[in-house]
Amino acid sequence: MKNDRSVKSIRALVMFTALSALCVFAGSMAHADMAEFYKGKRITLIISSRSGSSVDLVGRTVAPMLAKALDATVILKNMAAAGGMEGLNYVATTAKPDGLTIGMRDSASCYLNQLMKAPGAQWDIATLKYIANIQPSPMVLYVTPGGPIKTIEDLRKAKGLKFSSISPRGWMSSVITGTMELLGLDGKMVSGFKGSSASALAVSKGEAHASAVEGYTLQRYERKGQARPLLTTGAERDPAYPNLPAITEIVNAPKDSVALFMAGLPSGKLMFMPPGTADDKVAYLADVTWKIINGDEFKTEFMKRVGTNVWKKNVTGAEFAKLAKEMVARKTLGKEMLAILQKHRS
Amino acid sequence: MIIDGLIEGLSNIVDPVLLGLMFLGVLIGIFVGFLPAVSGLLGTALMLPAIVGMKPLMALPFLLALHAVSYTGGSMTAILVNIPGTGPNAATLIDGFPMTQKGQAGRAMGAAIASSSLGGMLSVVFALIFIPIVIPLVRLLYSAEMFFIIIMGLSFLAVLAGSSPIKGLMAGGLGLLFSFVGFQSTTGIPRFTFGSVFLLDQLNIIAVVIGLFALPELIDLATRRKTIALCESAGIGGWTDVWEGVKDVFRHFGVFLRGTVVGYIIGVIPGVGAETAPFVAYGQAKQASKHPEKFGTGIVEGVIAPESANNAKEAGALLTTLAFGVPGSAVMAILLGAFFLVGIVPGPEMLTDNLGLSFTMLLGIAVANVMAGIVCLAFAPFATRITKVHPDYLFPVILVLGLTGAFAAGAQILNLAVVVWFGVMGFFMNRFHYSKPAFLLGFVLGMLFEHYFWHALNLQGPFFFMRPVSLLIILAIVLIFVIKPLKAHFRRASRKRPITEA
Repeated sequence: MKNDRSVKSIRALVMFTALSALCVFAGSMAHADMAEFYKGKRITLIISSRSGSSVDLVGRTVAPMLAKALDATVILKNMAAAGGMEGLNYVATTAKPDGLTIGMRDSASCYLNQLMKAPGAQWDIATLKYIANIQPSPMVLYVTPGGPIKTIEDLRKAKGLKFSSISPRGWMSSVITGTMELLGLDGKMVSGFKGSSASALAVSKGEAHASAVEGYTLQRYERKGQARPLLTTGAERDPAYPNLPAITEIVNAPKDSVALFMAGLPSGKLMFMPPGTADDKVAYLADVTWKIINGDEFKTEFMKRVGTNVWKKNVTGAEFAKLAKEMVARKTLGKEMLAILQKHRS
Repeated sequence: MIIDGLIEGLSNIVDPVLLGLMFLGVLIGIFVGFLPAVSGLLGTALMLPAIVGMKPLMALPFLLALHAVSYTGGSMTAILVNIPGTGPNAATLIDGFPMTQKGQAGRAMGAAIASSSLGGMLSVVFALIFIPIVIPLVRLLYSAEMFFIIIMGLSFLAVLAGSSPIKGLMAGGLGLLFSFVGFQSTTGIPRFTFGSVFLLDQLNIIAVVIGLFALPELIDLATRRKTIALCESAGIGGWTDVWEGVKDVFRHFGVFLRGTVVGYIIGVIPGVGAETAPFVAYGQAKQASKHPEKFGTGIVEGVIAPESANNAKEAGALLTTLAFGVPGSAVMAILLGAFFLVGIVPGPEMLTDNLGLSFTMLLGIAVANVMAGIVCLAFAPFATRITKVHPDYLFPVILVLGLTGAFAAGAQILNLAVVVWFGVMGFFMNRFHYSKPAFLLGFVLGMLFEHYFWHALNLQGPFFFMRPVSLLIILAIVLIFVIKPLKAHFRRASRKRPITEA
């Protein structure tokens, strides 16, 4: 009996190894096919943001490395009209799913605009194909340096707070209003500032009391003496500010809390492809890109260009696709988020 | 420390490799500025990949040289064919093109090139002098002050209104209305878009200007079947005419100096917009002039004022961009990206620890303006020949240039529809004598007016105008418009008195 069982186990092991080898072989054959497909081709990287923006900078860092790895030509095209939605709309509705068009945008804007039904948003995050989300990061709340607010307790006690923000339905506004809701802050959010630097300038002058921005950008503002970091709005502490508490350490909100979702939203530079792009092409590009964005060359360039010393985990396209589907499945999420935004904005 | 930075900047700027690279940037800048199809904005964006891997000391002066002189190139098409090469050149065509029609293209170009180049250089001197006070000064300006600065700009509507103040104000109001097309900046609510994604962004200024000014002129050119220079006896505009224009800048030195100061100050203030400076300078020159009624008919002061402000705003804008990382214009936003691309992080330390690089960039603007002045002056006599070309040849070229320019402004095919729409509007505005410059001023400042009003109201409350700096600006607005009529009144009164006494 014992012998039979061990023979069976050995047989199963052999079968498993053979199958695995077959899969690896088939995979490498597919990869070889894909490598051949991309060789000498012209890939268009649509940057759904203006020249010189942070998405554009990351796009310009990735593009030559991708071209080298694929032995292809990668052309950058900025499509920033309609509040930055033009490029995403183009990839989602007009670009051919031939594997030669890649889109890039801030990941938070992709789902926030859809969930909150932003005018002009024509895409469906559940149908796009994802390559990777580069360096997703939550925001950190900051206040006027030298101002009366020095602690989270001061912030909670303050009356008539004014938060500066960029786009009225964008990532920063979502994070700020989510935080205001969770901490029960008294005040309002004033949006419309032209970029996070303009928002930070308003805070540093004392025109606004507080705002929020990614940790690595805040490092720059702090160096300039423009900001006093107060709290990481994400679920975990930010590696750029390990001594700052995360919002989950301060408030006791249920896991499915909409305000917690809004405050803790991380955003990275999302690379995606048109709906209907063949899975093998997406998988191949995801694999090649993953190696690039986790390599030393990219890491060094990225940190130099955004001016940070902190490196975070990248997110795979498959992981992001799962997250996107989960978000779309929460049918009332958009409405509830809009309600919180409306409640706290000026 | 400032002296050390200046010496370092001077020693950097005389590097032959850097000078060669900047000269290349100047040539590209003039070329992209001259062609409405490309514009300085697109030219700077197109050059971004070229600077990857370059040292900041080489890359940044190169890009700045390209950008800073694109307005010099842009004035040429505004003067010669009524199409501004870049948005801020729109104010130049108000008097520049009528001068061309009078056969004074050479003189207008000489004045434009000299005033923009000298203005660019002088603003660098201002920037060097005012470095220590720029940061505290900018920090004093809240949204309330920005609102009143925009009001000051809008108050020049009265000056630009032309012969009929009512029609001028109506045109300005219409301009304001058209500036509201698209997303409202503080609420994100789309207005007047009729469900169109294209209209979510504000209407593109280049497309609006080409439609409003160039298209009616083209129709006129085609139906008139005469050359652009209406005065047949006028010469082509050789060296003598161009040199005459250069001398005009010194003859009207006060206009030039005020234009440069206005340009520099508006450049320093982040968020007022690149198009504002030349219009305010133009309005101010007209308001201060002894013969304001001649503005718009083709006088050289109307070219000198906006052109001196055009390049002067760049040195001011560079300081603010460096110190705060807040770009004053779309091109400065691209330049900001370029800083990061070569590993430079803007911040106040750029004006303290990195003074050497900052001075190199500032001096680079001055050197680029000298280079641009020489190149453009050499080119001007040849460019003016266009005014004597028969419309049968000129019409298709200008039409294609204009439409391509409108398309290239944002790479939107629907901008062509915008050109046609505003072309029709421009035609009727010409016919019924509504001021197009007043419309344009309303359009340029409308969005900013609303934006800063809401911000001032939300951030400082309903009594936002009670801040001391705001009160000072309000006082300045009142003085600008009261002093001249008061002086005129007293002059009249003093003239009358001896008669009555007699």
